[in-house]
Amino acid sequence: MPTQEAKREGRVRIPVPGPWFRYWLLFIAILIFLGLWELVVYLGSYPSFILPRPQEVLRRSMVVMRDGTLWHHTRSTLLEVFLGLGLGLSVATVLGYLLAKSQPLERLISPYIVASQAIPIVALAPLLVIWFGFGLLSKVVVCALIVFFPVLVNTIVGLRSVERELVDLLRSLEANRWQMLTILEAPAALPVLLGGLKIGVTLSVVGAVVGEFVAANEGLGFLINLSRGLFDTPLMFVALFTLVIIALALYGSVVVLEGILLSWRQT
Amino acid sequence: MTRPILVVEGIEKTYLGRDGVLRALRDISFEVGTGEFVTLLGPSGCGKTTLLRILGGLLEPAGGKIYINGHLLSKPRREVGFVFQVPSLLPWRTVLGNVTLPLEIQKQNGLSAKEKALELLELVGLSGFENAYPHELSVGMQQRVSIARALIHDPSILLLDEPFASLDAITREQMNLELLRIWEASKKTVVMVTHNIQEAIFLADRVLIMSPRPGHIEAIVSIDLPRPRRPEMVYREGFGTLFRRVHRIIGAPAST
Repeated sequence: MPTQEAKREGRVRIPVPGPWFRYWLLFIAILIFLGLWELVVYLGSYPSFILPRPQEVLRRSMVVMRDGTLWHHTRSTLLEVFLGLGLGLSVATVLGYLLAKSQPLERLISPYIVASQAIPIVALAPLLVIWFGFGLLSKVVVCALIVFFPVLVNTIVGLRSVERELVDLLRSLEANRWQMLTILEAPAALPVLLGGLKIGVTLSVVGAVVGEFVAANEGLGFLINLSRGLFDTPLMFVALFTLVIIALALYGSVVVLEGILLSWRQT
Repeated sequence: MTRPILVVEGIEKTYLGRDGVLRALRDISFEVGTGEFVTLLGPSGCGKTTLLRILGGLLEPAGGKIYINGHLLSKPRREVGFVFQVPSLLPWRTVLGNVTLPLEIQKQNGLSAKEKALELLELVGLSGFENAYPHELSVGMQQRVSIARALIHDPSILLLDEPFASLDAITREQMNLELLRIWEASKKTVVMVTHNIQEAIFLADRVLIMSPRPGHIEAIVSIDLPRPRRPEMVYREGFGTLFRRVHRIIGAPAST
Protein backbone atom coordinates (compact mmCIF):
# COMPACT_ATOMS: atom_id res chain seq x y z
CA MET A 1 0.00 0.00 0.00
CA PRO A 2 1.33 3.44 -0.90
CA THR A 3 0.84 4.84 2.60
CA GLN A 4 3.21 2.32 4.07
CA GLU A 5 5.59 2.95 1.23
CA ALA A 6 5.47 6.62 2.00
CA LYS A 7 6.11 5.91 5.65
CA ARG A 8 9.11 3.77 4.99
CA GLU A 9 10.87 6.16 2.68
CA GLY A 10 12.72 9.00 4.28
CA ARG A 11 12.20 7.84 7.86
CA VAL A 12 15.13 6.48 9.78
CA ARG A 13 14.46 4.07 12.63
CA ILE A 14 16.21 5.10 15.80
CA PRO A 15 16.53 2.33 18.40
CA VAL A 16 14.26 3.18 21.33
CA PRO A 17 14.47 1.38 24.68
CA GLY A 18 11.68 -1.21 24.76
CA PRO A 19 8.91 -1.45 27.38
CA TRP A 20 11.02 -3.89 29.44
CA PHE A 21 13.48 -1.13 30.09
CA ARG A 22 10.73 1.01 31.60
CA TYR A 23 9.58 -1.86 33.82
CA TRP A 24 13.14 -2.28 35.01
CA LEU A 25 13.30 1.40 35.92
CA LEU A 26 10.05 1.08 37.87
CA PHE A 27 11.37 -1.97 39.68
CA ILE A 28 14.57 -0.14 40.60
CA ALA A 29 12.61 2.88 41.80
CA ILE A 30 10.58 0.67 44.14
CA LEU A 31 13.74 -0.99 45.44
CA ILE A 32 15.34 2.36 46.19
CA PHE A 33 12.19 3.49 48.01
CA LEU A 34 12.11 0.37 50.18
CA GLY A 35 15.83 0.65 50.86
CA LEU A 36 15.55 4.27 52.00
CA TRP A 37 12.56 3.42 54.15
CA GLU A 38 14.47 0.59 55.82
CA LEU A 39 17.44 2.92 56.33
CA VAL A 40 15.34 5.63 58.00
CA VAL A 41 13.85 3.12 60.44
CA TYR A 42 17.32 1.71 61.15
CA LEU A 43 18.98 5.10 61.71
CA GLY A 44 16.16 6.55 63.79
CA SER A 45 15.30 3.28 65.51
CA TYR A 46 11.63 4.28 65.53
CA PRO A 47 9.10 2.12 67.30
CA SER A 48 6.63 0.26 65.10
CA PHE A 49 3.65 2.53 65.91
CA ILE A 50 5.53 5.53 64.55
CA LEU A 51 7.20 4.02 61.50
CA PRO A 52 7.05 0.26 60.96
CA ARG A 53 9.61 -1.55 58.83
CA PRO A 54 8.59 -2.61 55.31
CA GLN A 55 8.64 -6.31 56.26
CA GLU A 56 6.27 -5.62 59.11
CA VAL A 57 3.81 -3.91 56.80
CA LEU A 58 4.10 -6.82 54.40
CA ARG A 59 3.43 -9.31 57.21
CA ARG A 60 0.42 -7.30 58.39
CA SER A 61 -0.93 -7.17 54.86
CA MET A 62 -0.66 -10.96 54.56
CA VAL A 63 -2.73 -11.38 57.70
CA VAL A 64 -5.52 -8.97 56.69
CA MET A 65 -5.55 -10.40 53.19
CA ARG A 66 -5.94 -13.94 54.48
CA ASP A 67 -8.74 -13.20 56.95
CA GLY A 68 -10.66 -11.17 54.35
CA THR A 69 -10.58 -7.85 56.26
CA LEU A 70 -8.67 -6.02 53.58
CA TRP A 71 -10.91 -7.20 50.75
CA HIS A 72 -14.03 -6.33 52.72
CA HIS A 73 -12.95 -2.71 53.14
CA THR A 74 -11.41 -2.41 49.69
CA ARG A 75 -14.62 -3.65 48.08
CA SER A 76 -16.64 -1.07 49.97
CA THR A 77 -14.33 1.78 48.89
CA LEU A 78 -14.25 0.53 45.30
CA LEU A 79 -18.05 0.49 45.17
CA GLU A 80 -18.19 4.11 46.39
CA VAL A 81 -15.52 5.13 43.90
CA PHE A 82 -17.22 3.50 40.91
CA LEU A 83 -20.70 4.79 41.74
CA GLY A 84 -19.29 8.25 42.53
CA LEU A 85 -17.32 8.31 39.30
CA GLY A 86 -20.38 7.21 37.32
CA LEU A 87 -22.57 9.88 38.89
CA GLY A 88 -19.96 12.65 38.70
CA LEU A 89 -19.01 11.85 35.12
CA SER A 90 -22.53 11.70 33.77
CA VAL A 91 -23.70 14.90 35.45
CA ALA A 92 -20.48 16.74 34.49
CA THR A 93 -20.54 15.75 30.80
CA VAL A 94 -24.25 16.45 30.32
CA LEU A 95 -24.05 19.79 32.12
CA GLY A 96 -20.77 20.57 30.34
CA TYR A 97 -22.44 20.03 26.98
CA LEU A 98 -25.31 22.35 27.89
CA LEU A 99 -22.97 25.05 29.23
CA ALA A 100 -20.69 24.83 26.19
CA LYS A 101 -23.71 25.24 23.90
CA SER A 102 -25.39 28.11 25.71
CA GLN A 103 -23.57 31.28 26.74
CA PRO A 104 -26.51 32.65 28.82
CA LEU A 105 -26.80 29.35 30.68
CA GLU A 106 -23.07 29.40 31.38
CA ARG A 107 -23.26 32.94 32.75
CA LEU A 108 -26.21 31.92 34.90
CA ILE A 109 -24.78 28.74 36.38
CA SER A 110 -21.01 29.08 36.43
CA PRO A 111 -20.88 31.38 39.52
CA TYR A 112 -22.55 28.63 41.54
CA ILE A 113 -20.21 26.01 40.18
CA VAL A 114 -17.12 28.05 40.97
CA ALA A 115 -18.50 28.92 44.42
CA SER A 116 -19.09 25.24 45.12
CA GLN A 117 -15.42 24.63 44.41
CA ALA A 118 -14.34 27.29 46.89
CA ILE A 119 -15.68 25.20 49.78
CA PRO A 120 -13.23 22.43 50.68
CA ILE A 121 -14.90 19.08 50.25
CA VAL A 122 -13.68 18.07 53.73
CA ALA A 123 -15.73 20.90 55.19
CA LEU A 124 -18.77 19.96 53.16
CA ALA A 125 -18.68 16.23 53.87
CA PRO A 126 -20.25 16.37 57.38
CA LEU A 127 -23.22 18.25 55.94
CA LEU A 128 -23.59 15.70 53.16
CA VAL A 129 -23.60 12.91 55.74
CA ILE A 130 -26.45 14.66 57.56
CA TRP A 131 -28.36 14.97 54.29
CA PHE A 132 -27.65 11.63 52.70
CA GLY A 133 -27.17 9.36 55.73
CA PHE A 134 -24.33 7.28 57.09
CA GLY A 135 -24.48 4.67 54.36
CA LEU A 136 -23.19 4.36 50.82
CA LEU A 137 -25.07 7.32 49.34
CA SER A 138 -23.26 10.10 51.23
CA LYS A 139 -19.82 8.74 50.13
CA VAL A 140 -20.99 8.43 46.55
CA VAL A 141 -22.14 12.06 46.61
CA VAL A 142 -18.84 13.32 48.10
CA CYS A 143 -16.95 11.33 45.50
CA ALA A 144 -19.16 12.58 42.64
CA LEU A 145 -18.76 16.19 43.77
CA ILE A 146 -14.99 16.03 43.72
CA VAL A 147 -14.94 14.30 40.30
CA PHE A 148 -17.47 16.71 38.87
CA PHE A 149 -15.43 19.89 38.50
CA PRO A 150 -12.36 18.83 36.47
CA VAL A 151 -14.54 16.78 34.14
CA LEU A 152 -17.01 19.63 33.69
CA VAL A 153 -14.32 22.18 32.88
CA ASN A 154 -12.60 19.85 30.43
CA THR A 155 -15.88 18.96 28.74
CA ILE A 156 -16.56 22.64 28.11
CA VAL A 157 -13.00 23.35 26.92
CA GLY A 158 -13.06 20.27 24.69
CA LEU A 159 -16.39 21.12 23.08
CA ARG A 160 -15.37 24.74 22.54
CA SER A 161 -12.15 23.66 20.82
CA VAL A 162 -14.00 22.21 17.81
CA GLU A 163 -12.86 23.97 14.61
CA ARG A 164 -15.36 26.36 13.09
CA GLU A 165 -14.79 24.99 9.59
CA LEU A 166 -15.76 21.52 10.73
CA VAL A 167 -18.94 22.83 12.32
CA ASP A 168 -19.68 24.73 9.09
CA LEU A 169 -19.04 21.59 7.08
CA LEU A 170 -21.53 19.55 9.07
CA ARG A 171 -24.05 22.37 8.99
CA SER A 172 -23.72 22.61 5.21
CA LEU A 173 -24.58 18.91 5.07
CA GLU A 174 -27.67 19.55 7.20
CA ALA A 175 -26.46 17.41 10.08
CA ASN A 176 -28.85 17.34 13.03
CA ARG A 177 -27.86 17.98 16.63
CA TRP A 178 -27.30 14.32 17.41
CA GLN A 179 -25.08 13.84 14.36
CA MET A 180 -23.17 16.99 15.23
CA LEU A 181 -22.51 15.53 18.68
CA THR A 182 -21.65 11.97 17.70
CA ILE A 183 -19.76 12.61 14.48
CA LEU A 184 -17.91 15.78 15.38
CA GLU A 185 -18.16 17.19 18.88
CA ALA A 186 -17.74 14.09 21.02
CA PRO A 187 -14.68 12.72 19.18
CA ALA A 188 -13.17 16.21 18.94
CA ALA A 189 -13.62 16.83 22.67
CA LEU A 190 -12.41 13.38 23.63
CA PRO A 191 -8.67 14.11 24.10
CA VAL A 192 -9.38 16.99 26.48
CA LEU A 193 -12.17 15.08 28.18
CA LEU A 194 -9.86 12.14 28.86
CA GLY A 195 -7.38 14.58 30.39
CA GLY A 196 -10.12 15.66 32.80
CA LEU A 197 -10.97 12.05 33.49
CA LYS A 198 -7.37 11.32 34.50
CA ILE A 199 -7.61 13.97 37.21
CA GLY A 200 -11.14 12.86 38.06
CA VAL A 201 -10.35 9.21 38.73
CA THR A 202 -7.50 9.98 41.11
CA LEU A 203 -9.66 12.52 42.94
CA SER A 204 -12.48 10.00 43.20
CA VAL A 205 -10.37 7.91 45.60
CA VAL A 206 -9.79 11.03 47.70
CA GLY A 207 -13.54 11.69 47.69
CA ALA A 208 -14.40 8.22 48.92
CA VAL A 209 -11.88 8.40 51.76
CA VAL A 210 -13.06 11.85 52.83
CA GLY A 211 -16.60 10.50 52.99
CA GLU A 212 -15.49 7.51 55.03
CA PHE A 213 -13.52 9.66 57.43
CA VAL A 214 -16.61 11.57 58.46
CA ALA A 215 -18.83 8.61 59.21
CA ALA A 216 -18.54 5.01 58.13
CA ASN A 217 -18.29 1.49 59.41
CA GLU A 218 -16.41 0.07 56.44
CA GLY A 219 -14.03 1.15 53.69
CA LEU A 220 -10.31 1.89 53.55
CA GLY A 221 -10.80 5.35 55.05
CA PHE A 222 -12.59 3.73 57.97
CA LEU A 223 -9.75 1.19 58.25
CA ILE A 224 -7.21 4.01 58.53
CA ASN A 225 -9.27 5.66 61.25
CA LEU A 226 -9.64 2.35 63.02
CA SER A 227 -5.93 1.52 62.96
CA ARG A 228 -5.13 4.97 64.25
CA GLY A 229 -7.28 4.26 67.30
CA LEU A 230 -5.58 0.91 67.81
CA PHE A 231 -2.06 2.27 67.23
CA ASP A 232 -1.83 -0.38 64.53
CA THR A 233 0.37 1.70 62.22
CA PRO A 234 1.36 -1.26 60.00
CA LEU A 235 -2.33 -1.73 59.19
CA MET A 236 -2.60 1.97 58.42
CA PHE A 237 0.23 1.57 55.92
CA VAL A 238 -1.52 -1.42 54.36
CA ALA A 239 -4.66 0.67 53.84
CA LEU A 240 -2.64 3.59 52.43
CA PHE A 241 -0.83 1.39 49.94
CA THR A 242 -4.12 -0.19 48.87
CA LEU A 243 -5.47 3.30 48.14
CA VAL A 244 -2.39 4.08 46.09
CA ILE A 245 -2.84 0.86 44.10
CA ILE A 246 -6.50 1.67 43.43
CA ALA A 247 -5.63 5.17 42.21
CA LEU A 248 -2.79 3.85 40.01
CA ALA A 249 -5.05 1.16 38.54
CA LEU A 250 -7.78 3.70 37.76
CA TYR A 251 -5.31 6.10 36.20
CA GLY A 252 -3.74 3.28 34.22
CA SER A 253 -7.15 2.24 32.93
CA VAL A 254 -7.77 5.74 31.59
CA VAL A 255 -4.34 5.69 29.92
CA VAL A 256 -5.20 2.35 28.27
CA LEU A 257 -8.62 3.69 27.26
CA GLU A 258 -6.91 6.74 25.78
CA GLY A 259 -4.60 4.48 23.78
CA ILE A 260 -7.58 2.63 22.32
CA LEU A 261 -9.84 5.62 21.65
CA LEU A 262 -7.10 7.87 20.29
CA SER A 263 -5.26 5.14 18.41
CA TRP A 264 -5.50 7.20 15.21
CA ARG A 265 -2.87 9.54 16.63
CA GLN A 266 -0.17 6.91 16.71
CA THR A 267 -0.42 5.75 13.10
CA MET B 1 -24.98 31.82 -20.61
CA THR B 2 -26.85 28.58 -20.01
CA ARG B 3 -29.87 28.40 -17.70
CA PRO B 4 -28.81 29.99 -14.38
CA ILE B 5 -28.47 27.54 -11.52
CA LEU B 6 -27.63 30.19 -8.98
CA VAL B 7 -29.35 33.55 -8.85
CA VAL B 8 -28.18 36.17 -6.37
CA GLU B 9 -30.34 39.25 -5.89
CA GLY B 10 -29.37 42.32 -3.91
CA ILE B 11 -27.49 40.62 -1.07
CA GLU B 12 -26.68 42.89 1.86
CA LYS B 13 -24.71 42.03 4.96
CA THR B 14 -24.03 44.17 8.00
CA TYR B 15 -22.15 43.47 11.21
CA LEU B 16 -22.53 45.19 14.53
CA GLY B 17 -19.04 46.60 15.09
CA ARG B 18 -17.56 48.57 17.96
CA ASP B 19 -18.26 51.89 16.27
CA GLY B 20 -21.72 51.18 14.95
CA VAL B 21 -23.01 49.14 12.08
CA LEU B 22 -20.41 47.83 9.69
CA ARG B 23 -21.54 47.27 6.13
CA ALA B 24 -19.80 44.17 4.81
CA LEU B 25 -21.67 43.56 1.55
CA ARG B 26 -23.64 46.02 -0.55
CA ASP B 27 -26.26 45.10 -3.12
CA ILE B 28 -24.62 42.03 -4.61
CA SER B 29 -26.39 40.58 -7.61
CA PHE B 30 -25.24 38.08 -10.21
CA GLU B 31 -26.18 34.83 -11.85
CA VAL B 32 -24.19 31.67 -12.44
CA GLY B 33 -25.05 29.34 -15.30
CA THR B 34 -25.24 25.56 -15.03
CA GLY B 35 -21.79 24.05 -15.42
CA GLU B 36 -20.10 27.43 -15.31
CA PHE B 37 -16.80 28.12 -13.51
CA VAL B 38 -16.92 31.50 -11.81
CA THR B 39 -14.20 33.05 -9.68
CA LEU B 40 -14.82 35.73 -7.06
CA LEU B 41 -11.74 37.94 -7.08
CA GLY B 42 -10.91 40.66 -4.61
CA PRO B 43 -8.42 41.85 -2.03
CA SER B 44 -8.41 40.46 1.49
CA GLY B 45 -11.22 41.78 3.61
CA CYS B 46 -13.60 42.57 0.76
CA GLY B 47 -16.18 40.09 2.00
CA LYS B 48 -15.54 37.26 -0.48
CA THR B 49 -15.64 34.59 2.18
CA THR B 50 -18.68 36.17 3.80
CA LEU B 51 -20.44 36.10 0.45
CA LEU B 52 -19.49 32.47 -0.09
CA ARG B 53 -20.77 31.51 3.34
CA ILE B 54 -24.03 33.26 2.55
CA LEU B 55 -24.25 31.36 -0.76
CA GLY B 56 -23.79 28.13 1.18
CA GLY B 57 -26.58 29.05 3.57
CA LEU B 58 -24.17 29.12 6.52
CA LEU B 59 -24.67 32.80 7.15
CA GLU B 60 -27.85 34.80 6.92
CA PRO B 61 -27.79 37.91 4.73
CA ALA B 62 -29.26 41.15 6.05
CA GLY B 63 -31.19 41.54 2.83
CA GLY B 64 -31.62 40.10 -0.63
CA LYS B 65 -32.44 36.68 -1.98
CA ILE B 66 -30.59 33.66 -3.29
CA TYR B 67 -32.12 31.03 -5.53
CA ILE B 68 -30.50 27.67 -6.18
CA ASN B 69 -32.19 25.67 -8.93
CA GLY B 70 -35.12 28.04 -8.59
CA HIS B 71 -35.56 27.41 -4.84
CA LEU B 72 -35.19 30.22 -2.35
CA LEU B 73 -32.22 29.56 -0.05
CA SER B 74 -33.01 29.88 3.65
CA LYS B 75 -30.75 27.32 5.32
CA PRO B 76 -27.78 25.14 4.35
CA ARG B 77 -28.69 22.94 1.38
CA ARG B 78 -27.33 19.63 0.28
CA GLU B 79 -27.11 20.86 -3.31
CA VAL B 80 -23.96 22.65 -2.24
CA GLY B 81 -20.52 21.16 -1.70
CA PHE B 82 -18.12 23.24 0.38
CA VAL B 83 -14.32 23.29 0.27
CA PHE B 84 -12.73 25.53 2.90
CA GLN B 85 -9.41 27.38 3.05
CA VAL B 86 -7.97 24.69 5.28
CA PRO B 87 -8.65 21.02 4.52
CA SER B 88 -10.98 20.60 7.56
CA LEU B 89 -10.80 16.83 7.74
CA LEU B 90 -11.77 14.82 10.79
CA PRO B 91 -8.32 13.73 12.04
CA TRP B 92 -9.66 10.55 13.69
CA ARG B 93 -11.15 9.26 10.46
CA THR B 94 -9.33 7.67 7.57
CA VAL B 95 -9.40 9.26 4.13
CA LEU B 96 -12.25 6.94 3.17
CA GLY B 97 -14.21 7.77 6.33
CA ASN B 98 -13.79 11.47 5.61
CA VAL B 99 -14.94 11.21 2.01
CA THR B 100 -18.05 9.18 2.86
CA LEU B 101 -19.00 11.55 5.71
CA PRO B 102 -21.63 13.52 3.74
CA LEU B 103 -23.41 10.31 2.72
CA GLU B 104 -23.28 9.07 6.30
CA ILE B 105 -24.93 12.27 7.52
CA GLN B 106 -27.56 11.96 4.82
CA LYS B 107 -28.04 8.30 5.78
CA GLN B 108 -27.13 6.90 2.39
CA ASN B 109 -24.19 5.03 3.75
CA GLY B 110 -23.95 1.65 2.11
CA LEU B 111 -21.66 -0.38 -0.04
CA SER B 112 -22.24 2.04 -2.91
CA ALA B 113 -20.91 4.84 -0.71
CA LYS B 114 -17.55 3.15 -0.48
CA GLU B 115 -17.48 2.48 -4.21
CA LYS B 116 -18.36 6.08 -4.95
CA ALA B 117 -15.66 7.29 -2.56
CA LEU B 118 -13.03 5.12 -4.18
CA GLU B 119 -14.06 6.42 -7.60
CA LEU B 120 -13.75 10.02 -6.42
CA LEU B 121 -10.41 9.34 -4.77
CA GLU B 122 -9.23 8.09 -8.12
CA LEU B 123 -10.57 11.26 -9.74
CA VAL B 124 -8.59 13.46 -7.35
CA GLY B 125 -5.51 11.26 -7.76
CA LEU B 126 -5.45 9.63 -4.35
CA SER B 127 -6.07 5.97 -5.20
CA GLY B 128 -4.46 3.73 -2.62
CA PHE B 129 -4.62 6.31 0.18
CA GLU B 130 -8.11 5.40 1.38
CA ASN B 131 -6.89 3.90 4.67
CA ALA B 132 -4.41 6.66 5.50
CA TYR B 133 -5.14 9.21 8.21
CA PRO B 134 -5.18 12.92 7.30
CA HIS B 135 -2.01 13.72 9.26
CA GLU B 136 -0.12 11.22 7.12
CA LEU B 137 -0.87 13.28 4.00
CA SER B 138 0.55 16.57 2.76
CA VAL B 139 -1.69 19.63 2.89
CA GLY B 140 -2.19 19.43 -0.89
CA MET B 141 -3.31 15.82 -0.60
CA GLN B 142 -5.58 16.70 2.30
CA GLN B 143 -7.21 19.37 0.19
CA ARG B 144 -7.78 16.80 -2.57
CA VAL B 145 -9.55 14.66 0.00
CA SER B 146 -11.84 17.53 0.91
CA ILE B 147 -12.59 18.10 -2.78
CA ALA B 148 -13.55 14.43 -3.11
CA ARG B 149 -15.68 14.82 0.02
CA ALA B 150 -17.40 17.89 -1.41
CA LEU B 151 -18.32 15.94 -4.55
CA ILE B 152 -19.61 12.70 -3.02
CA HIS B 153 -23.19 13.70 -2.28
CA ASP B 154 -23.44 14.87 -5.89
CA PRO B 155 -24.09 18.57 -5.20
CA SER B 156 -24.94 20.74 -8.18
CA ILE B 157 -22.75 23.62 -7.00
CA LEU B 158 -19.24 23.52 -5.57
CA LEU B 159 -18.25 26.47 -3.39
CA LEU B 160 -14.49 26.79 -2.97
CA ASP B 161 -13.05 29.27 -0.47
CA GLU B 162 -9.43 29.91 -1.53
CA PRO B 163 -8.86 26.17 -1.39
CA PHE B 164 -5.18 26.33 -2.36
CA ALA B 165 -4.20 29.47 -0.46
CA SER B 166 -2.11 27.50 2.01
CA LEU B 167 -0.11 25.71 -0.69
CA ASP B 168 3.19 26.74 -2.22
CA ALA B 169 3.09 28.32 -5.68
CA ILE B 170 4.20 25.23 -7.59
CA THR B 171 1.77 22.85 -5.90
CA ARG B 172 -0.90 25.45 -6.26
CA GLU B 173 -0.49 25.58 -10.03
CA GLN B 174 -0.70 21.79 -10.22
CA MET B 175 -3.80 21.78 -8.05
CA ASN B 176 -5.45 24.37 -10.29
CA LEU B 177 -4.93 22.15 -13.33
CA GLU B 178 -6.27 19.20 -11.32
CA LEU B 179 -9.27 21.26 -10.32
CA LEU B 180 -10.03 22.07 -13.96
CA ARG B 181 -9.74 18.41 -14.87
CA ILE B 182 -12.08 17.43 -12.01
CA TRP B 183 -14.50 20.18 -12.99
CA GLU B 184 -14.57 19.04 -16.60
CA ALA B 185 -15.04 15.38 -15.56
CA SER B 186 -17.75 16.05 -12.97
CA LYS B 187 -19.63 18.79 -14.88
CA LYS B 188 -20.35 20.74 -11.69
CA THR B 189 -20.98 24.43 -11.35
CA VAL B 190 -18.10 26.03 -9.46
CA VAL B 191 -17.92 29.30 -7.55
CA MET B 192 -14.40 29.85 -6.24
CA VAL B 193 -13.03 32.64 -4.08
CA THR B 194 -9.47 33.79 -4.71
CA HIS B 195 -7.28 36.85 -4.29
CA ASN B 196 -4.91 35.81 -7.05
CA ILE B 197 -5.60 37.57 -10.38
CA GLN B 198 -3.77 35.06 -12.56
CA GLU B 199 -5.50 32.13 -10.91
CA ALA B 200 -8.89 33.82 -11.20
CA ILE B 201 -8.47 34.36 -14.95
CA PHE B 202 -6.83 31.03 -15.68
CA LEU B 203 -9.63 28.96 -14.15
CA ALA B 204 -12.78 30.90 -14.85
CA ASP B 205 -15.41 31.39 -17.50
CA ARG B 206 -16.16 34.67 -15.80
CA VAL B 207 -14.36 36.65 -13.10
CA LEU B 208 -16.50 38.59 -10.63
CA ILE B 209 -14.35 41.40 -9.29
CA MET B 210 -15.19 42.59 -5.81
CA SER B 211 -14.16 45.85 -4.21
CA PRO B 212 -13.95 46.30 -0.46
CA ARG B 213 -15.76 48.22 2.27
CA PRO B 214 -18.54 47.56 1.68
CA GLY B 215 -17.91 44.64 -0.62
CA HIS B 216 -19.73 44.78 -3.90
CA ILE B 217 -19.34 43.49 -7.45
CA GLU B 218 -17.23 46.07 -9.26
CA ALA B 219 -17.21 44.37 -12.65
CA ILE B 220 -17.74 41.04 -14.34
CA VAL B 221 -15.11 40.03 -16.88
CA SER B 222 -15.81 37.20 -19.32
CA ILE B 223 -12.77 35.04 -20.02
CA ASP B 224 -12.90 33.89 -23.64
CA LEU B 225 -9.78 31.74 -23.52
CA PRO B 226 -10.26 28.32 -25.13
CA ARG B 227 -10.82 25.18 -23.08
CA PRO B 228 -9.12 23.07 -21.95
CA ARG B 229 -6.81 25.61 -20.40
CA ARG B 230 -3.09 24.92 -20.55
CA PRO B 231 -0.37 26.42 -18.32
CA GLU B 232 1.41 28.05 -21.30
CA MET B 233 -1.69 30.15 -22.06
CA VAL B 234 -0.58 32.43 -19.27
CA TYR B 235 2.21 33.71 -21.55
CA ARG B 236 0.04 34.37 -24.61
CA GLU B 237 -1.05 37.86 -25.58
CA GLY B 238 -4.77 37.22 -24.86
CA PHE B 239 -4.03 36.38 -21.25
CA GLY B 240 -1.94 39.49 -20.75
CA THR B 241 -4.72 41.69 -22.09
CA LEU B 242 -7.22 40.13 -19.69
CA PHE B 243 -4.75 40.41 -16.82
CA ARG B 244 -4.22 44.12 -17.45
CA ARG B 245 -7.95 44.71 -17.73
CA VAL B 246 -8.74 42.96 -14.44
CA HIS B 247 -5.79 44.64 -12.86
CA ARG B 248 -6.91 48.10 -13.87
CA ILE B 249 -10.37 47.46 -12.36
CA ILE B 250 -8.92 46.31 -9.06
CA GLY B 251 -6.36 49.10 -9.08
CA ALA B 252 -3.95 47.15 -6.93
CA PRO B 253 -0.16 47.20 -7.25
CA ALA B 254 1.15 44.88 -9.97
CA SER B 255 1.84 41.86 -7.85
CA THR B 256 -0.41 38.88 -7.36
